[in-house]
This record gives sequence, C-alpha cells and structure tokens, in this order.
Amino acid sequence: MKKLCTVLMAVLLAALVLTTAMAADEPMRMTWWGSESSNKIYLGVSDMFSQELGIEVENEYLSWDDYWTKLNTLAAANDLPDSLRMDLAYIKSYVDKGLLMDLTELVEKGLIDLSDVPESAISGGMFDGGLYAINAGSNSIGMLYNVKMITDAGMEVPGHELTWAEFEQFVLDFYAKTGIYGSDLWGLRDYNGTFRAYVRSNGGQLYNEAQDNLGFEQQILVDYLNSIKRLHDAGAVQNVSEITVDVGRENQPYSKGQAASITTTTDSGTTYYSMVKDTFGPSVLRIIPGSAENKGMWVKPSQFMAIAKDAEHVEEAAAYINYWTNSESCNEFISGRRGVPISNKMASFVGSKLDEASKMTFDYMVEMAAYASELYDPDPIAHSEVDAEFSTTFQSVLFGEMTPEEGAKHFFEFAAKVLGE
Amino acid sequence: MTAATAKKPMTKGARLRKRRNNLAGLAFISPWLFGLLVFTSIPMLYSLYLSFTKFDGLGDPKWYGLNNYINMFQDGVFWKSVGITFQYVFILVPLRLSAALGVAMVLASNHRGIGLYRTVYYIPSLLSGSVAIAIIWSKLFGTDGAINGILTMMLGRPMTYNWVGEPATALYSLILLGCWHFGSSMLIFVSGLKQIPQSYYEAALIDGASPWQRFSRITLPMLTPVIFFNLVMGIINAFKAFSEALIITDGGPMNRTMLFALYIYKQGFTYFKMGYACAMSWVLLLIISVFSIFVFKSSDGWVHYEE
Repeated sequence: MKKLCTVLMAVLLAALVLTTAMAADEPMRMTWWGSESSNKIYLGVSDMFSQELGIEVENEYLSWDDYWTKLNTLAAANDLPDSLRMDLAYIKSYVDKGLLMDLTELVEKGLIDLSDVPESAISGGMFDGGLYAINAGSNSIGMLYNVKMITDAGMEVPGHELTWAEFEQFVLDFYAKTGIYGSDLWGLRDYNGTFRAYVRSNGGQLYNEAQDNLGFEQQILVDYLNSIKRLHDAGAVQNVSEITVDVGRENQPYSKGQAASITTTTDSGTTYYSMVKDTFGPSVLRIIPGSAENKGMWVKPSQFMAIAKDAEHVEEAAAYINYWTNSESCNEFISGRRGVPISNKMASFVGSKLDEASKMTFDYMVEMAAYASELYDPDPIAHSEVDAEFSTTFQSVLFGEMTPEEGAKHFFEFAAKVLGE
Repeated sequence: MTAATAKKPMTKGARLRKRRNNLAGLAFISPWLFGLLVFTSIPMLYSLYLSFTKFDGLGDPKWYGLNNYINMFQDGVFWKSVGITFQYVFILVPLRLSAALGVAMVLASNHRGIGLYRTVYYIPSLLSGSVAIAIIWSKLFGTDGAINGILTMMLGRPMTYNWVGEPATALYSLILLGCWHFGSSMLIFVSGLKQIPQSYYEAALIDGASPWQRFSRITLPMLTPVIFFNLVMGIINAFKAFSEALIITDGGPMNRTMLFALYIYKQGFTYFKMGYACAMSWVLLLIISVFSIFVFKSSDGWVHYEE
C-alpha cells in the first residue's frame, strides 16, 4: 500500500513538473493557412523575424479547411495564437465575437508604423470604428495563359477584352489545332473565383443582400454549365473524372504543360508560373473572360494580419506586423509574392527587385484594376456548404447524370434551403 | 442447511487483504476509469446536449429542440450517405473476414519462418489509418496509376480509367483498401485456429473426411466464437470508417464515397453545423447498436462454445 502511494505520488509529481515546464517561457505563437509554396515564404519571414529581432516564434500552419477548423476550436477553448491570419470570409464574425484585438492603440504607440501606408490600404481592416487587422497585401483572380504553347500553335494570346463566347471558341480551337486541352477544368469548376466572376459579369452576385438566397438568375448558371459541358464533351478540357479527387496543384494539367489556360488567384499564379516556366515557357495573366464590359472583377484583401484579444505576446505580435509592413529585408525576401506591399516606400523598393513571376502579378494587378468593381460582401456562413453542392452539381452535369437545366434547378433549390435556414 | 450456505464470517486479516486487493485493482484501472469519465462520458453527454442545439462551434449553442433530427429526414446527402455506408459495410465486412480467414489458414501451420510471414501480413493493418497509405492508394488507382499500368500491359491497349475518380468504382476502391487491412482479424483467426485440438482432424482423417468436410465440419464450427468477435468488431469499425474517404476522395465523386462519419465531420467542421453533426453522431451510435444487438442475438443460433 505504501509503495503504491509512493508510485502514485511520483506520477502526479512528474505530471505537475511536466506541465509547468511546458507553460513557462512560451515563445510567441503564430499561425496561418497556406499551400506549400506560401508556407515557405511565411516560414522564411518567421526565421528572419526571430533572428533580426531576437523573438522566439512557434509556427503553426495548415491548409485552408483545416485552418478554420482548428482556429474555431482554439477560439472556443480561448486559446488563440498570438498572431493569426484572417480572411474576409471570417474576419467579421471574429470581430463580432470579440476575439480580435483593436490595434489602434498599438499604432498610436508606434509599435505598428503605418506612416507610409495610404488610408485606403488601412480601411479594409476597420470594423465598427476599430482597426482589427492590417491587410498586408491584396489579390485577385485571373485566367493564366501559357504564352509559348499558344503562339506555337499559331494563335494569339487572348487579351483582357475577350468575351466568354470567344473564350469558349479559343479553347475549342486550341484543342483542335494541338490536341492539348485549351483550358484546365480545375479552374473552370471553381465556384468561389471563376463562377463568381462569371456571375458578376452578368449583373449578379453570388448571394443577395440579405444573404438568405442566391443573388443571380438561374439562367446564368444554365448558360455556364452549358458552356462548360460543350468544352467537356468536345474533349477540349480533361474528363470530369479527373477533377473529382484532389490531386495537388503540381499534378493539374496546366502545371504539366497539358493545358493552355487555367483560372487562378494571383498568389497561386506565381506558383503556376514558376512551375511551368522552365519546361513549357512563360505565362501571362488576363482577367476572367467576359468580365471587361460589366467590370466583374474585384480586388480582395488577402493578407489580414491580426492579434488575438487575449494574446500573451502583444508587443511581439505587433512587431511582427510592423516587420512585415516596413522591413526592407523582409519585403525583399517576399518580393511581392504575397501581393503588393501596402507601404508606398516598400512598394517602390520591391518594385525594382522583382523576379519574372512576381512582375507578372504586379503588372496584372495594375491592369485589372480598370475592370474591377466594388468588392462583394463577406460570404454567408452557409457558403462552404453551397460551394460543395456546386461541385457536386457541376460534376453531375458533366457526368451526364443531369442536364444543365436540371442541375441549375437542383442547385437553386439546395441553396435556397441552406441559406434560408 | 442454512449453516452450509451462510457466508463464513471473515477474519480480520482476510477482510483487510480483500480490501487491499480491491484497492490495488482500482488503482490499476484508475487511469482507464479516469479516462472514461473525463474524456469519454463527459464529451458524450455534452454532444447529446449539443445535438438539441444550433451551434456553429464558435458562439453559444442555442436550443433548437428536435430540429436537427427532423432536418436529417429532409437532407438528401444524409440519406445518400446512409445508403453508401451500408453498402460499404455489407460488402467490406464479409470480404475482409474471408480474406483474413483465408490467409490465417495458410499461416496457422508450423513451417519454419512462419512468424515472419505473419508479421509481414500484419503490416498493412499497422499502417491502416495512415495518410501515407491513403495517398499511395490514390496514386495506385489514379489515371496514371500502377493499376492502369498493369492493365495496359495485360490488355495491350492504353487504360486511362480513373478508378477513384469515377462514380461507378470510387467506393469499391475504398472497399478494396479496407480489405487489405485484414491483419488484426487474421491474427485473431490464427490464434483461434491453433486452439482447435489436432485430434479432431486426426479422427476425421481416419474416417476419410475430405478437406472441405474437415473445414466445414470442424474448423468453421470451432471458430465461430472467433468469427463472432471479428464480425462485431468489423461491423463497428466499418461503420466508423473515415480517414480513407477523407484523404482519397473527400466524399467525391458526387458524394459517392460520403461515408457517414465523413459527413458528420463535414457538417461539424466544414459547414460549422456542430449541433447537426452531434445529432448525426447519435444516429450513428443508434445504427451501430442495432446491428451489434442483432449480431449478438443471432449468435445463439450459430456460435458454438465448447463446454
């Protein structure tokens, strides 16, 4: 009995020692979501940041889906990391729930120096009079074309003013001439980007103002599905069975020189560019076909950096935002791969040192601004479920299980039900 | 009469010894008891409560009555996922058990180096839930995968069928992966086979029984307790299957591999309908219980215990 007691005591003691040892002297916790290539950038910045400023950093990074799962769990447990990345889709609900710190005081104290940052670049992070995040970069989407493959086929690289019908013809023609896919279905199936631009270009929005239903005519979806189905059935894009299971960006046809175009965010655009450049030649970004006339494009803050309300390392987290905003070495390292720097000084500093891929997106962001209209409202919470049903519908139509009309009808019924709940 | 049945009064020493034994026993299982209470029953009860609420995982749960349960009846994907999960369980479990028994019969013999083979055949089960295997699987059965490579060689014409991407075959690729994880049932079968007294087989041989007769009249009946155990565990695990579907197909194409557990995860963590996901979990518990009870009840009729 005595022995047992001693053993139990020892175990308890050991557990106690272990937990206290873990609690003491924690480094600043930092988290983000990202692909493999963007993770490299974040990790690089973290390393430079902790070396230059002598601040220990613990990095945690996940894919988009897992990130929000994890962050919501941490928020519920009141254990958010000190420094975190926010997206337009979620920042409002995080602010409403009081999970983020108002940065105004930190700016006034000079811990975050925004003296070179224009007001327009700051206002994106303002909610109800407080500054809850600094947007360190903006992005958009576009259609990436492989210049060499298209000119080799004796065709012209499309311009910004291309209509959707002309784009469809381009894809068909390119396939007819080369036997290579004219576009990549991985881009065309994208509800969030490609289809959103298509809807906006046809005078709608994905969701209505009350966000309790879709915000566009059913016929728009019918037309879109019909167009994609024509491309698919002609063989001018890959078979739908190739896009039902995620294969990773590097295995998509565009990355392997098996497709002449793909829709992408500008951030990922640089990744695609670097992947195909050496083997298949340079790429160029254009706006989503058909977006010119109605200004269907948009510019979206993509790099919201925030600090948790209950952060333990407030000053360190502020220093991180400041580092990203104002440090020459940091911005030289990033060299525009996360969007144009918000500080005017940094933008012109980096502008002179860009590599080809970043230069392409820099130029694109300037050109596309002429075709952009007001940014859409943050998506409703049911967005991800509607998004998933869009893929199902999209695939059902291409597999021939539904006609485009049936697909559109089904999708509208589903969305009305989920959004109305 | 009464004196014979009445308990003998314990001496003081015996009582003390007994209490000490109980204490030691409790001490030994205390980590498990603690775990059960804190990490299993509290979350379970909480999830029962959540199943009657509307809860996005972030804010405060709001009372929602039976609505989560009612909504299930109108949820098309829910019913699809129920159907697919039944299909998965009823094809996978018999297949996996047969595979396990077949391999176990071969490995139950006493050849030299048989231990090595047993280990080798068990390895897939060790790796079973792992992400790496799921990724290998999606490569094997993809368009450029090894399966198509072999078929191309055998058929002499190029095969580009996407086994995991086509709605017709996606679920079966997952079932095949499940079959491949027969290792743990196999080990239990091996030990069960070794329990069967050799003398039965010798007697049957003298009476001129054919191999099939020996298998069906001796091996199978003697194994029924082990089969029963493997069947129950197999059914429960198959209903809970999750990671393969998440990693290889993510429920696609068109929800054809949306296993029940995966759909629970999606509702809870992707669509932020935690209350609904909790309600679905309880429905899953109910389904598993019904099947387990059914198997247990039926076992009187086909499981033979040696007395």
